[in-house]
Amino acid sequence: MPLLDATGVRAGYGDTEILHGVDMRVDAGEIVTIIGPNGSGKSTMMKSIVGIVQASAGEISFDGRRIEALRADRRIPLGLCYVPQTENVFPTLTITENLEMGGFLRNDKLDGRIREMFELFPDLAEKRNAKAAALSGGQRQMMAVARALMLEPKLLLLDEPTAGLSPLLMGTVFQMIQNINATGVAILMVEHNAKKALAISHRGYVLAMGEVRMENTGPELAGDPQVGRLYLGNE
Amino acid sequence: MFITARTMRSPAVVRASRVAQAVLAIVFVVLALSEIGLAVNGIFLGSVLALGAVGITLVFGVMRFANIAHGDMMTMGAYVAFFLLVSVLPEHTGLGPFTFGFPLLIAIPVSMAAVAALAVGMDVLVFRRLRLRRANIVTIEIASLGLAIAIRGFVQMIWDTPVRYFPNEGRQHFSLPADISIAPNHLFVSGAALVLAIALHLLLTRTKQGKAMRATSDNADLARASGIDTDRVLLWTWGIAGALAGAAGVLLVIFNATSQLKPTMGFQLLVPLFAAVVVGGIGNPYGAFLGAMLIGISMEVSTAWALPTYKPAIAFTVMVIVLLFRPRGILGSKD
Amino acid sequence: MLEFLTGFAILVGVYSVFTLGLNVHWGYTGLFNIGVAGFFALGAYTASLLVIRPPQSDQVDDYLFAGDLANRLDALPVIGALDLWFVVALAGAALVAAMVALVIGTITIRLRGDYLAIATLGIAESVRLVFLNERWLSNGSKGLYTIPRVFDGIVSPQDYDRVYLVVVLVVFALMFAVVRALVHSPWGRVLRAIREDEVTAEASGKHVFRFKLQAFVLGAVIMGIGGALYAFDLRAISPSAFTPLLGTFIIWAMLVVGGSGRLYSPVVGALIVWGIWSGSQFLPDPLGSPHVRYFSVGALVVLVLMYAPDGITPEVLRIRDRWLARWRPRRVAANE
Ligand SMILES: Nc1ncnc2c1ncn2[C@@H]1O[C@H](COP(=O)(O)OP(=O)(O)OP(=O)(O)O)[C@@H](O)[C@H]1O
Ligand SMILES: [Mg+2]
Repeated sequence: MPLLDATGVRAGYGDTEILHGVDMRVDAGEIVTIIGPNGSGKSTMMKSIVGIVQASAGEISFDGRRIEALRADRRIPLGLCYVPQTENVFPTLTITENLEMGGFLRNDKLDGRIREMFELFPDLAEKRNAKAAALSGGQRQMMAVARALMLEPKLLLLDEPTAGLSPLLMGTVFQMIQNINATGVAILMVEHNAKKALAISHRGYVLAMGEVRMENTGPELAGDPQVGRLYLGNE
Repeated sequence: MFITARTMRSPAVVRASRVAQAVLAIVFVVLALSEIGLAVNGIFLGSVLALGAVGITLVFGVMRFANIAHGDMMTMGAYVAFFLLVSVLPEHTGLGPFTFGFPLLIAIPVSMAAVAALAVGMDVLVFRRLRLRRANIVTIEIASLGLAIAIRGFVQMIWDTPVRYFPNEGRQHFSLPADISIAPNHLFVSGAALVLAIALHLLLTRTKQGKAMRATSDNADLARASGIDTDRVLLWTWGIAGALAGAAGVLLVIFNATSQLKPTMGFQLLVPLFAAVVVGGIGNPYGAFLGAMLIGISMEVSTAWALPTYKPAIAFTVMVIVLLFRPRGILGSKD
Repeated sequence: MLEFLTGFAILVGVYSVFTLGLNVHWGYTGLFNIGVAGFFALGAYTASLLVIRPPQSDQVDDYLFAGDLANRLDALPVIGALDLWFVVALAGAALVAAMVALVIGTITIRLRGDYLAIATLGIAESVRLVFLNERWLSNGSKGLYTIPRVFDGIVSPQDYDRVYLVVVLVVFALMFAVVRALVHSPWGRVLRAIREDEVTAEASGKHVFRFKLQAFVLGAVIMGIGGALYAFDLRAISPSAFTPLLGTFIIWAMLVVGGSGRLYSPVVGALIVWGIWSGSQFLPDPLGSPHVRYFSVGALVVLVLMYAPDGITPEVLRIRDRWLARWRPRRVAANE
């Protein structure tokens, strides 16, 4: 049974429908990457999975439970966490407070988990009492991922985790994603650095105009000449 | 491109604006010091304003609208206390140096609870439904205008329009050097406001619910995506804003030399309250506190030259001047 | 009874003018003005001061400036009979309202909507305080009360209300026609685009700020003229008529109840709300008190926003259509 199973998802903003019936699946322990042109609805798909955008049709199940009718804050406790593409930290809260908010649903003492996050992201530990607004772009990305990991989710949704990062840092982030995955967390990410992302992914989807155009294993999708021509800019 | 081209300012303009801001700050300080007695009164007035303004700004933070009913919620708090003082609690005045008696110490928390309940009720019955319908912000704001008038009508239905008074007895002012004379009640008002402000600060920075309020104010979508029940946060925010409004209403009465209440007392304070919120930076509770002090001092110091009835207009003028130089207020960084 | 109805109709007409102006602000442009009372007062005082006589004795009245246009222009041959001073008074009211709107709009329209709301509320209160306190200007809380009648000398005082009703309706119709033409013009289409989606409108090269400012000034002008019409109806004004409640809220109630963004709806709202407001005074005592009136109109606004967000005009039309549908077949049958 897949961990996340979405079928026929339709969603949009106001009266405009952006997703026209998307099927998507993530199995436990997988890394899955969504690629596609700007505005194709990748972020909208992520938002409908989390519940920030309500799907107008289709089914979404997570861990065997139907979730499409739940509010976002009722989906998170089931074990899925989300790092948005933009505005992914609480700017006027300190780093530590951001992490506490990430762990809002935990009833135990958060200190242990926060310490683990600081071990995972030493950069953040140094700035633990600074406001998140004062972080650099890369640090903010770390912060956002750390916040989402606070609940020890089964599935982590990452919307463009490497956007705006230096090539060096990009490598670090992909390494980090693999490390997180190695601890048993499934990952669904949107990436424009498609080659690198697909290289570490088990499977991948190509989304265009709100529809899934292709689905394959990561390496095969990366090598597919059509994908290369259409979305990766290869000749 | 279009927008940045127009808002981008040349270094010369930025420098001129900085100089102007510094000059304004100096003028403010000099004027306040030259009328130190009035400025001290301004701090007392500012502490009443602060309690109201902080509530408005907290609600704005999570709901993104300026609650017009806030002034009338304060009125409600004052009248609830009035009811308790004359009909329920034992009669007593002149506690220590103050004009009021110990029953007021009971009336304040009860008023706070009553107005908190009113505010929560408003959210559940009106604002939540409008939110669910995805009503536009201004629709919500007009609803708050409707509620403001309805609350005032309710107060008038029960207590009628003539001026009422808390039970009180005359008290000597404390005299200090430099022509400063302080009404004991004013010290109480400021002390109470300070206690509430500190309590709020601790709530916002030390408790999980308080941090969730700040998080929701920062980014409601991300808060929900962190598992925070933002509807509950909203109720908490309304409750806290209501409690502060209730306290502010009662304190506003004893701030007044004759302890009088009128059904319009809260609504009339709306301009200074909004001015405090905007000057401080809308959505920022610390800014609201600072803004309230600035507005309170400006209003009182202005009475050295202008008729006291012009105080709301002074508050408004200060707000416009601040907006000219800092469109997001003094501590504001949000949209 | 007829007198009451005439007076009632005049005020519905005057309030329709205000709702027309507010509709330009909120209904068509999305500008949140909660300081209608400010433009109302500016119009009323400007028009009155232009035409009233100077104070008869300085023991009673303090105001220094009085245009006395009613007498001066009336003294002119031929033109005098036309009561042109009335037109001049309306133009003066419009001009002052426009200037204030221009200044306040320039400062606040660029900022987010709440600031405009707060600024208009502040302006309205400041204007009221000036008229209340500056006795040399406006006679303080006593207000102005020697405001002349239009067509005095031609029309007998008993008939004044009926004639004035016609005047109000003519002025309203003129402004209605102007607004209607503007709303259907390209200018009006841009306004609607701004109201729907400001970012897109800006991106498509529209100078959003300029359009909003123009709409703000236009609405303020209409409100200023409304204020002048109000002054020549009551012929005595004082600051107490321009409180946020009487000068702003009631007009918002009319717009909300009637439904904003359509041309005719506000008139329906003015009729209904003013009907409730002035009709309730005939109710038996506890219900007829002004306090109950405040409460019920406040609650009415909230209920309409919650359950009939487009106002009740569409509901009224629906009921009318149902009745028509019920009547028509019978009439057809009778004709056959
Ligand atoms: N909050 C919103 N309100 C209205 N429309 C939106 C909103 N967010 C996105 N859209 C529209 O939905 C469409 C899909 O947007 P989405 O963010 O899902 O694209 P994306 O595939 O993530 O693109 P990118 O690669 O640029 O991030 C776009 O046309 C966009 O304009
Ligand atoms: Mg995206």
